[in-house]
Amino acid sequence: MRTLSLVDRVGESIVGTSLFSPRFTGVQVGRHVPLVRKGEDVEGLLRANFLGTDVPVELNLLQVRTIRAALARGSTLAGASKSWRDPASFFHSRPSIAYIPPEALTRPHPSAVAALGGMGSASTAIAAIRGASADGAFWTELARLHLYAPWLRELLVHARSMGNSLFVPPVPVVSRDLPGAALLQGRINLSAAAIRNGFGSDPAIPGLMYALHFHPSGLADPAVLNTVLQQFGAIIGRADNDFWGVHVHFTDIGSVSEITAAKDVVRESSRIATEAGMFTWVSDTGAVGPALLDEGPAFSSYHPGLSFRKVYADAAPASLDVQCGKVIEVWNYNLQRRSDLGRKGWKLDDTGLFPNVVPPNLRTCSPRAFRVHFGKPSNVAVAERLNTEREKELVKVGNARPGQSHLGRSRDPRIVPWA
Amino acid sequence: MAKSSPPVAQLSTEDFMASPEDQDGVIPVAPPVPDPRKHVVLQIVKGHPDGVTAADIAAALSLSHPTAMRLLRELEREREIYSRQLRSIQVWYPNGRMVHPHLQATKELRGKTYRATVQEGRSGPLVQVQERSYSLLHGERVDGAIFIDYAALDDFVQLLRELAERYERFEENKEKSRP
Repeated sequence: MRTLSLVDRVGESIVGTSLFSPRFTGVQVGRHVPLVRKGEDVEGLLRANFLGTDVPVELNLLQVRTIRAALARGSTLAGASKSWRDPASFFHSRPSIAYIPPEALTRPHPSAVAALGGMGSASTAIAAIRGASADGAFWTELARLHLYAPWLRELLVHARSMGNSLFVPPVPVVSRDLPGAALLQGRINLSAAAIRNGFGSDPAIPGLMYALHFHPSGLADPAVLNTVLQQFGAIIGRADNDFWGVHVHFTDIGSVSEITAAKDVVRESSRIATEAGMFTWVSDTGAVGPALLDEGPAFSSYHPGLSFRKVYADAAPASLDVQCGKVIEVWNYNLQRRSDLGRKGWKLDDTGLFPNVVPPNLRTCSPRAFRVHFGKPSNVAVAERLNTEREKELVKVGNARPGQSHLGRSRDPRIVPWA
Repeated sequence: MAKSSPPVAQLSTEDFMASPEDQDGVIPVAPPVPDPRKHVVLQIVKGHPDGVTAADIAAALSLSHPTAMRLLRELEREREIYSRQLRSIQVWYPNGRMVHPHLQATKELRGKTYRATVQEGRSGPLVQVQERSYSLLHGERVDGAIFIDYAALDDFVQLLRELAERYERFEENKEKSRP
């Protein structure tokens, strides 16, 4: 399946369009786009009216219930376009990718195991095995009990009901504790493609992305990475493969210490995919996504809270200020707490897309209200502004690494190493 | 967390499918990896400024003659070595030796890495310009290279300038001729 059409290439960075489904055929690439981890993120996006329906979105399929509930709450929101307000069309009206957070499949937090089980009878069985097994034993049990196929079918039906264009199959995550995942990952991608084909040509069933998923510990061994990429290249290089693109994900990007290896993986997988005519999506990259776009993928996604934490983790007791989350400034690219904004007179750099002054009623409101009404839509505005700047830098200036140049402005110790 | 279970490595595509007959489940053969012997061949040629033949390389490394020829030709394409036909024998020589480690400059231009060095040639100094790239699969490699006689460097730069001026005039004329 050829899903990438290039207009230009500056260094590794690409300019062109991608194909998500017969309905979404000319989706502009080279963009940092939102990821909906949970219902609250949708509420934040509903306030980002500047976001066009041509902007792709990634969705955590394990949270469909909270996301549907948030969409229903947002249906009364004034100012939002109909396509945003209608729960049935929120994802259907735009290119979107559904995935299962890979962290739920490697050393999962109990809340991730609980989320795995909420999708149907096969999912319930999967969650029970996941909760009771080590990473390797989990996949062995799935094979022994022939549970993968019914589980995948259940997930695909959920993705269809959400109107998603593409779906990322769950696969073993490459980690230090499970080196066998390097080969098993490719085999299960092939299984998923065969199971998806069992639905025939039903256009409402999402197409499949090839999943390349890594735990931070899995980046330490170049030989393992080489095996993963060789296998990926061999499968994706076949003209008759059934994939629409490749989905690269690092569980818990905030704890990746092998940053060079992570960039190498993104660059190499993007090269292989581009050669095969497919686009690459790097998932849940937070504030460092623009730097990864310089390595050649078509998209990087970010959670609008720009958290460097996992989706499912212990909620540490924190001050109200910490609970307000972080807001990023477009030009100095530093993450600010609400109290930091207060010290600066409640004013941020202007993106031209969203108000850059914190309204008085949000300066002392609950953390949730601050995140939904200001923090998250403001972060989305910054990402959109940077997408525009990126295109200018690539096409007009010829800067092959606009993302890494921009991250170099930051003083944030979690961002600077990726510059 | 327990270490991996041995059976994981033995699980196949069919183990995760409802109906094994749906697909052959065969993983295709992986693409070829770079040949580590090439580096050894390069070191041998570099150690013999008076030249070596493919037969010398084949004997030294216990390779077949066609394999030795393939490795030598790949190195020649990368401008690491060059060859001359002496009567019926092809002899391979190392390309110029760098005059001094200081006489090397690397620059990234629009995402491509170029390395220029001044080298000793048989009839005087040469400037070598290599286009280089790095990949996780293949390591660092030379995508292409050219040599210019140091004495002709100014003329070469002038050639590029003339070409650039010609291109700019071409673009200007194209713009003017638009309705």
